[in-house]
Amino acid sequence: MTAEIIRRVAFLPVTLFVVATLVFLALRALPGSTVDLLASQFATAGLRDQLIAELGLDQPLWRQYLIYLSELVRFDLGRSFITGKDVSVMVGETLPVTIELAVASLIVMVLFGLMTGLAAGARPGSWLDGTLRFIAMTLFALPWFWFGIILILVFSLWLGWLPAFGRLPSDVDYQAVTNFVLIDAVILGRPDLIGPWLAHLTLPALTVGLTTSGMLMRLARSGVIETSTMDFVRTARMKGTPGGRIFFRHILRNAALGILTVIGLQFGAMLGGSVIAEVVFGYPGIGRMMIDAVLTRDYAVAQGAALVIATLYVFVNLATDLTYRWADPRLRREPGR
Amino acid sequence: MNVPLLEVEALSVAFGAPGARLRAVEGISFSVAPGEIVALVGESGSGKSATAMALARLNEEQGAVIDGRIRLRNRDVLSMSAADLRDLRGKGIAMVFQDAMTALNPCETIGDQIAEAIVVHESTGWRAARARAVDLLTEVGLPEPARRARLYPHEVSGGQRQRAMIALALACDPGLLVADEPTTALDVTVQAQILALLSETVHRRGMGMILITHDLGVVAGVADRVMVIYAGRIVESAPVETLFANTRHPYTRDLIAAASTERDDRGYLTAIAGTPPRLDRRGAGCAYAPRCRRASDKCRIERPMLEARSAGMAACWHPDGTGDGAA
Repeated sequence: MTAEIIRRVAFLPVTLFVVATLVFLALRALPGSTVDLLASQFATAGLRDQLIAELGLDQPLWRQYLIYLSELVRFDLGRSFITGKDVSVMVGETLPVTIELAVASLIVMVLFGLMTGLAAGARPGSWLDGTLRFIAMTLFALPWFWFGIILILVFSLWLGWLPAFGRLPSDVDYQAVTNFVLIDAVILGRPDLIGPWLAHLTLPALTVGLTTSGMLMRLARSGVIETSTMDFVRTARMKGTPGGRIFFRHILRNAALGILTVIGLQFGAMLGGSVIAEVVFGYPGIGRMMIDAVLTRDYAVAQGAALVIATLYVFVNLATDLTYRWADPRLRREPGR
Repeated sequence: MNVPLLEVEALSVAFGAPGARLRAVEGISFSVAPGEIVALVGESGSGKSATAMALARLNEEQGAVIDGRIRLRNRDVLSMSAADLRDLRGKGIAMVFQDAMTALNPCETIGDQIAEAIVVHESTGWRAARARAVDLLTEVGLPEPARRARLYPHEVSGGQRQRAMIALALACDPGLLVADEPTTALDVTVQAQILALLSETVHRRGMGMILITHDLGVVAGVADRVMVIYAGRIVESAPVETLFANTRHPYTRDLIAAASTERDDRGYLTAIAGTPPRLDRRGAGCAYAPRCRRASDKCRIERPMLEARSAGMAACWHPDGTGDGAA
């Protein structure tokens, strides 16, 4: 197990190198330049050239790439072309926001997807199963942004229950420490932060959580149905084990192996993929920061965001694999035993 | 033979939707006395496993419709409530399944799986149940039982897994043990050990056992009585010595011949030509007639009933070797 962790972490730089190279090339393949944004169309050619030189964009591509890599190995993500802020500082501000949203979405997804999936799988073919499958299929098929807009329409515009935009009300005085609102609320002794924070978090988390729960529901359902037909379930029945106990102790315990993997993969996808939810809900996470950076050709910021998301994704997948190994006794011990 | 432990009368097991129902087992009757080992022998699809599962109504969940009468210690199994049935399973009837690798929960230790049977039937705590599981593992001859009780099924050998499976079946001291092909998944040397263990345990505990197998070699070693099942019906039933010494039914005779390693003139092993009839194409006559060398016109039209023949019973119009094709 330890050997596996070391092996995977040791492989991380390779993954990151590939990601860094791809993002670097992809950004430069895009037409347009930050300079167009920074220097207005009335700027003189001299001013433009000066800007280009300042940003290092006058260098040949291979040279830019080498500079970028040499900065990277020194853990220097560079500065934003536009604001001049350190990219690492920007990541520190936006990443906690995304993690908050991903965790909240995960909770929604697991609660809803798992419960409906298990309920449907326990009684396949029943009316409940049919209804839940219909709901799951609908959620699965809905585009995130569309579902998010509908939620805003209903809960913000019509009912006025929940805010539609941002992370905290603008009139709240919040001096971030860790940038995780929940942790800061404890550190700063500010329980008043939690209410508005949750209110702002609800709609985006519901959007991401519910639309991803359809997949989890279907997998949990089929996992339960498949496991129910296995021989050891028959053995459990033959022992005289009551149905509820068979379900939780034998069926669910074994079906959980597959379900865990799906939850882990989905969580990884949420970290990197909540971009759309962040844009729809004006949520200041790392996904939105990356989109903005791509649109303004703010190379350093986009590259930094992509690298951070990729790193996180690798670690979430590693954690998923380790959980899986821990949960399945057949994988728990080192091979060769 | 004293009072029967298990009495089965006119047992039928059918599958499928009403109207298109197919009978895997058609009206078989037998009994098992305490301390007796009865073998049920047949090829794949003959209905032997369907019979075994039906004894504890285990195949009802797969849609089996069970008819007839099953009485275990004078309790009517087919009219039992769900709660009574749970009580029966493990305590009245226990089963040893074919492949312990798949029949045991891969995510639970061997000891806990045995202990669970005790916990669900008795008001015993887990600690005491686990201790009893170790005793049971000792009884079935597992070396280092206390250590092995904490292992998972994949961590022990095939023979040890099957021993654990037997310990699980014995956990609540059932009167009847149903062993469904208990040695099929094992090496030949281990097979003999497991059979010896089963036979010894059954006699020592005074249980009855139904041994389901397709292997006549297994039967000869341990069974007291043998029932040969073909196409859902018992075609011959006799004490084990009689069956081999004085075979009545041509199917049994062919099975015995097929089990031998002798080769014919061309150097081929003996086999029974053809395949068993499909469930929906059994016809009116003897189900074995199409493959039988003795079959006469009568065999193809009229079904022979199971009748007393010397020391056993056989369902055959030509039990003494007369008939069309008889040599």
